Amino acid sequence: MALFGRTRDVNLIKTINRELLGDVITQQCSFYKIRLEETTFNLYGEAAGGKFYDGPIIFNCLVERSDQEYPESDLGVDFSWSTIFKFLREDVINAGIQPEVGDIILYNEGYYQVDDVISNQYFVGKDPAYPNEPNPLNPGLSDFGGNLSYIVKAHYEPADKFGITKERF
Amino acid sequence: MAEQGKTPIPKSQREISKGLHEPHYENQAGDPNNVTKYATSLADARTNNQVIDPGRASRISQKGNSWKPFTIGIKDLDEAIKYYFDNVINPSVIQNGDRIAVPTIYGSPERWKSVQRDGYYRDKKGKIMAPLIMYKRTNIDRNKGITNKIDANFPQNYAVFQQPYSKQNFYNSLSVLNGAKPIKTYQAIVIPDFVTFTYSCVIYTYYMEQLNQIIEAINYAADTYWGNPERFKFKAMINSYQTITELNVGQQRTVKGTFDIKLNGYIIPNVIQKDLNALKKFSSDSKIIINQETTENLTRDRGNNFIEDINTNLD
Repeated sequence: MALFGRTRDVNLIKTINRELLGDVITQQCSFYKIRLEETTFNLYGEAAGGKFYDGPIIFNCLVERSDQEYPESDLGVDFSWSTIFKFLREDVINAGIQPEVGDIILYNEGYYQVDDVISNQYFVGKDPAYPNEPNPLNPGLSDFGGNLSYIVKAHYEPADKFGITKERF
Repeated sequence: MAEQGKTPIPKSQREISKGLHEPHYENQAGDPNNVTKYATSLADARTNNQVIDPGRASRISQKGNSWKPFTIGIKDLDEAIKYYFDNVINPSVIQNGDRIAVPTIYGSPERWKSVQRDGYYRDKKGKIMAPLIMYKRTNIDRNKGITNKIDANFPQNYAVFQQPYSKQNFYNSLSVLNGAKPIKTYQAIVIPDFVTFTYSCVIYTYYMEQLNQIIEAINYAADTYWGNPERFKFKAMINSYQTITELNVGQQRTVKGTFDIKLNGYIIPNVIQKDLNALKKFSSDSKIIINQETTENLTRDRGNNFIEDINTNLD
């Protein structure tokens, strides 16, 4: 049996973080999950006819913003903004969401498309999804370790692309 | 004292301009802006750098003209492209269930205009929204295979248009009885400089399906005359299209189509050299009847400031 990182310790960390995100930091974003059954795609692998989403589901999160950038091209001055959203994993799982590349996050009236989903913040370095059981020499390993977060890297997308709000008239 | 109380007459722009001219070769060739003596032949004009006498027939006042000097500038050709995209091809795509028109812009606008004025294809944060067509002139080739005006200093080739009506010479039933024919006024326009413009165009869309639609619309209009039918139309040729789909890490997926437009155009500039040298207006032959003519002193200009008194020689 491992010495540290039991479920009680993990729960302590989760509770502190939930309180921190919800009552102290109070940053929020909305998560849109693409509905695969209803969103159809064409030969080129694109849903030109429109996309369908589940959500929005509002989460407390930690938002790590990079600087806005204004790249220039023949089309004129454009806009880009990469942002990292850090969710408490248990909140996301409880909402029935599995963040994946291509999902949409609404933050401060801007839509961000998910590029990377990182889920490797293991408490004491152990993911409970892989408990390494049964282990006759060291039983009860499934009670140890914790996967704490979803860290989602996303980039800004033009608002009219997703058809969630009417942007062009 | 006599000058007091008179209303001063301000100098015209031309008089002010002429007063500021300081020609380098005034002693040899005179002031070209203030011609007192014309060259008598083309050879003399070229040798002595003088202005050739265009003849009194060409000295027709432009006052009262109902037409402007005929000019076609580079901007007119650029506008022809935009007019044709916006009003004739009028490309549109279906996006999220709505049909939206595809705006056309000229490439690389000023930053302030791009960000602060072009809001119709940007979202709240200033991100460019697709679809969008951008075109930009990249090259101007002179087309020497067609006719030209021969010499910019002394244009020889003109296109002539008859003016349909002149109020100074209106034609009425009395004119018919008297057998008088109205004088016709012609507008002469220097043969233009023929050029081939090359435009680089980018179609920017979210989806390949939208790009297909736009390319189909543009391709249908290729190799025809583009422009405003009430202004100028020029033959636009498109040979090929390149389609690019980019999916870069941490960036938006973009679908682009690029193509070049070759526009056969012509330029008639609005420049002072053309105004000075080229014929702009002339009239048809008219009949002048002189009943009596008297003179007190007969003189003849022999050139070199020598005025010959013919009265003396007659005696």
